[in-house]
Formats: sequence, C-alpha cells, structure tokens
Amino acid sequence: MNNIPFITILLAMVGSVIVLLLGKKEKTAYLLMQFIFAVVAALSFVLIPYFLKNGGTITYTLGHFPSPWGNELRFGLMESVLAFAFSAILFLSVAAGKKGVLEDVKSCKQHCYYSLLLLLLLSLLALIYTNDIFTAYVFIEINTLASCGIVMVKESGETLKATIKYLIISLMASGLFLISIAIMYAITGHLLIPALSETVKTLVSSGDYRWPLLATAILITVSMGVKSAMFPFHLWLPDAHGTATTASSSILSGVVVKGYIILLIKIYYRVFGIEVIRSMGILNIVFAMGIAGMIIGSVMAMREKNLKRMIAYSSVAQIGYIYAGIGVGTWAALAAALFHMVVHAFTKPLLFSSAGGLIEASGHSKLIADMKGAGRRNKLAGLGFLVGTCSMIGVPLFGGFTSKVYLALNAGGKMYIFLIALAISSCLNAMYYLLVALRIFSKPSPDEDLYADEKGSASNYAFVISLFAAINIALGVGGILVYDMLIKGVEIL
Amino acid sequence: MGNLFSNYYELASMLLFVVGFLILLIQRNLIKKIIGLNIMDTSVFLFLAAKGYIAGRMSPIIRDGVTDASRYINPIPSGLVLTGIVVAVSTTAFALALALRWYQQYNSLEVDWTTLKHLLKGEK
Repeated sequence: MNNIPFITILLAMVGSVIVLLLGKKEKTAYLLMQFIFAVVAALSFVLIPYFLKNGGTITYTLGHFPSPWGNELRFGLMESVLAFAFSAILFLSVAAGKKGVLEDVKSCKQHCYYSLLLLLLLSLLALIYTNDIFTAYVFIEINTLASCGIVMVKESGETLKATIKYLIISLMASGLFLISIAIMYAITGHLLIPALSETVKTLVSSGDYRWPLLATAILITVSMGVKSAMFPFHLWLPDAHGTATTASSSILSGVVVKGYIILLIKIYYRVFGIEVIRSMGILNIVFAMGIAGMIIGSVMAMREKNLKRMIAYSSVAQIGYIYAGIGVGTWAALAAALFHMVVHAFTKPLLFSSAGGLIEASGHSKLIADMKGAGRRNKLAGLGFLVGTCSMIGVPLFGGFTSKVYLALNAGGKMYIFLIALAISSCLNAMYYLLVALRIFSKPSPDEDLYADEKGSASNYAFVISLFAAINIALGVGGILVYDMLIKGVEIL
Repeated sequence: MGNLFSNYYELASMLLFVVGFLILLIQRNLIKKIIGLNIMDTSVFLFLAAKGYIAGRMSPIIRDGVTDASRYINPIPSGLVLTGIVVAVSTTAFALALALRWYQQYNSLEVDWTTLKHLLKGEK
C-alpha cells in the first residue's frame, strides 16, 4: 500500500519516455499510454477500500530521510479518490477524442502528444500526493508546459495564439508561486509541509512576520487562481480550452485546472491552517470571487456563438462554484466543493466529447448556428450532450444537482448569498445549454439539411460517451457515497 | 525604513521581480517578454542565494576534511536555485520555440493581445 502512489508516479514518468521513444509506431504508443492510464486508475482504486477500512493517512518518505530533511508523499482517502477519478478521466477522454486526435495531430507527432498526456498525469499525481511545496512548484511547471503542449499540438493559427497567451499568463503565475515559496522558506526555514505548518503556527501566535505571511498567502492564492481560472483571472481559458483538439479540451477543463485547486486547498488547510486564512480575510475574497465567477462566467457563456468556447466559459462558472465552496471554509463545504470538482471533472469531458461529435456532424463548424439537427445526425453525441446539459443545469438525478445541493446545504452563514447566486447561475446555465439542446434536436428544413447522417460512430466512442453519461447519473443518484468518502478524507487533511 | 537599506539584497531582488513581471505583462514583443521572464526568475535566484549565504563561511563542499557544519553556508537554497534554473531554462526554451513559430507564421514578433490593456478590456 505504501508504495502505490510512488509506483503510479514512476509508471507515468517511465511511460512518457518510452512512448516518446516508440517514434513512428503510433498505435503501440496509444495502447501503451491507455494501458498505463488504466493501471494507474486501478492501483489508485485499490487504495480506496484500504483507507475506507483503516482510515488515517500514510506518509511515504522518499529515500528514507526523516521529516524536516527528506521529501515526502502523503496520501489518504481524499487523495486516492481524486487520483482514481483523474486517471480514469484521462483514459476516457482520450478514448472519446481519439478520432479528433488522428485528424488534428500530424501522424509523425502523435507519439509526442501521448507522451505529453503521460507527463500531465505524472504532474497531476505528484500535485495530489506531494508533501513538499518546492516539489509542488517543479510539478506545476511540468504541468504548465505539458498543458500548453497539448493545446499547441493542433498547430493552427488560433491554437498558436491561444498557447502563447496561456503560456505567458501561466508563467507569470508560476513566478508568483516561486517568489512566495522563496519568502516562505526565508521566514520559516522549511519546505516540507508538516515542518512548515509547525513554524507558521508559532509565527502566527507570536505575531512575527505578519506582513510577509499575508503577502505569501495572497500571492499563492493569486497564482493558483490564475492557473485554475478563478474569476478575474480566467481570460486565458476560453481560448486555450475552446481551440484545442477535443481530447485536450476535455482533459484541460476536466482535470488540469483541478490539480491547482487541490494544491491551493492543501496550502490553506495544511500549511497556514484555515483559521489563519480566515482571519486574513482571504477566504471572504475567495468566496466573493467564486460568486462573481458563477454569474459572470454564465453570462459570458450565453454571449458565445462558438459551441466549444461556450462550454469553456461554462467551466469558469463551475470553477466559481468550487471556489465559493472553498470560501465558506468548513469541512463540510470543502467536501462539497471537492464533490462538485469530481462531478464537473466527469461532466465537462462528456460535454466536450459530445460537442466534438456534434461539430463533426455539422461539417466541422463550431458555430452553434450551424448545429441545427446535429443531434439527430449523431444521436449518441446528442444524447451525451443532453445528459451533460442536465447535469450542468442541476436537474435532479444528475450529478450536478447533487453537488449543488451539498454546496448549498453547507454554505453556513453565507447561505443566502450563495442561494441567490446559485439560482441566478442555474437559470443562466439553463438558458444557454437548453437553447443549444433544442437546436441540435430540432428538425432542419429540407433546404437546410446539408449533411448526411453520421454512419455509425466508432464503437469505443459510443462506449465512452455512454460510460460518462452513466457515471453522471450514478453520481447524481449515489452521490452520498462519494461525498461521505470525501468528507472522511478532508477531515484528516 | 532602516530595514529596507540593511536588507538591500532582498530589496534588489523584489525590485527586479517587479520589473520582470511588468515586462512580461506589458511588452508587446515576444522576445522582450521572454527576457522579462528570465529577469523575474533570476531575481528569485538572487533572493534565495542571498538567504542561503552566511558571512565568513565556505561553499558547502567538504574541503581539507572539515565536516563541521558551522564552517559552511546553507546548501538548500543553492539546491533550490539549481532546480529553479533547470525549470527556467526549459520554460524559456519552450517559449522561444513558440516565438519562432509565431515569427514563421506572421513574420513579426509583436503580439498585442497579451498586454495589460487587452487583458483589462477582455478582448477575444
């Protein structure tokens, strides 16, 4: 048990090198990558029953150097649930978007794309498991470069523009994170989270270094906020997520932004302690930004005419929900935010994959105006989009409903503000998602019916879309199970 | 105010950081942006190196068989700087490759949509 997280990280790392060396054998590279994703998901899944039975957390020391000196991985129930969900989503998203990858990526570069995806998995796993903030910094950079790479891989003018924008904004955020850990190291003398939190505790109680501590907390919040598209820093997201190939969009929206949020949660709860963050006033700001993101993200999505950009803007709104949940600052609300994170991580790839199918069924036009009847031509994509829509709006029995209920129930003293924002945001969601759903299922008039029926899509696409839809409904009906696991997981954070 | 002048390494590194950050944000030219990125990263290295140095001690490589830790400076910041340099080199290489691609496509290095003005306007 102790070795599983390290083995999964190592597997992804070795895999990315081997896949790169495979060169022209794209099919082998693809199979090897999917095999590694599946093995990582299975190994992470093994941890869940173990922690459910025994509780607690495990600290794994790399090289057996004891606490203040060595490098550590630390994991419990929350980490294993997230690692399982993330690796499973990577597996499914790539399987669903494979057709798009074959079309968008030059065949001589496909193995590089698969290698980047493995690097992405590696950095996400490391961000989930690590117990050392400098290691976290290194893996943030790996994550940034890999995610810029998977946007750029389509090699069109618009992805080039999106990648440069994404890279520059991400690098500014990385710089802020680096300077804040340098300040943190200067005032505490530690980088390992347990030792760091001890020192921060004594510093807070003695009142020394108040301003540097406040500055680091703000800088870390801003840098992680930029990378995870918290509301005023979301401007890079629609370009990057809206122009990339379908598999990349699913992965970026579903998984990559979440890794940074998890790191931020770790820093809030394990380095500073949530009461310190609350007394600094940062929690209220995070909550306000979350609420603003919920509404403004939806308004921006409504104005969008391009389907993929619309779904990308809807991610801004959903990340607003997550930040609002974090901003409440209780265990229950944090677990609800994490649950929403898992639901969104399974819904957004479904929406992007279905959108990929719909776009293909409308002669490769991404404009919503051209989508009339696309859901009739590619029924599976249409149904998948409908399920994703219901989940995002919050129709009962779908995942989004359950997570929104938990978020609202646990909002505590901020419940009224949260409920009002939730109502507005859900109505806006319904307006733009249902308009698209109506359009794709409406019957085009004969002279508009330009495109032939989709002649049976690939079987793995059908399988993945139905699996995603099934998971969504399962999360809606049996969400309490996952929520319980997460609440047990966060209480020992 | 006295602290500001006695801690002039920290002051200098913070000033450099702000300079680099603003260049990255405001400049239109991609190469200048990348130079700004490097100024920003280097300022952090200066900060760390200044924090690790203890006046009158040697670099942490065992010399003349002396293993007493009080004779050497703190090695961890140096290690962090080395790691940071590796990261900075790889991000710079990636950014330069993108800049090259941009130049090949548009025959110019100017990008006017990642500057502060456009971010504030929220253009598409």
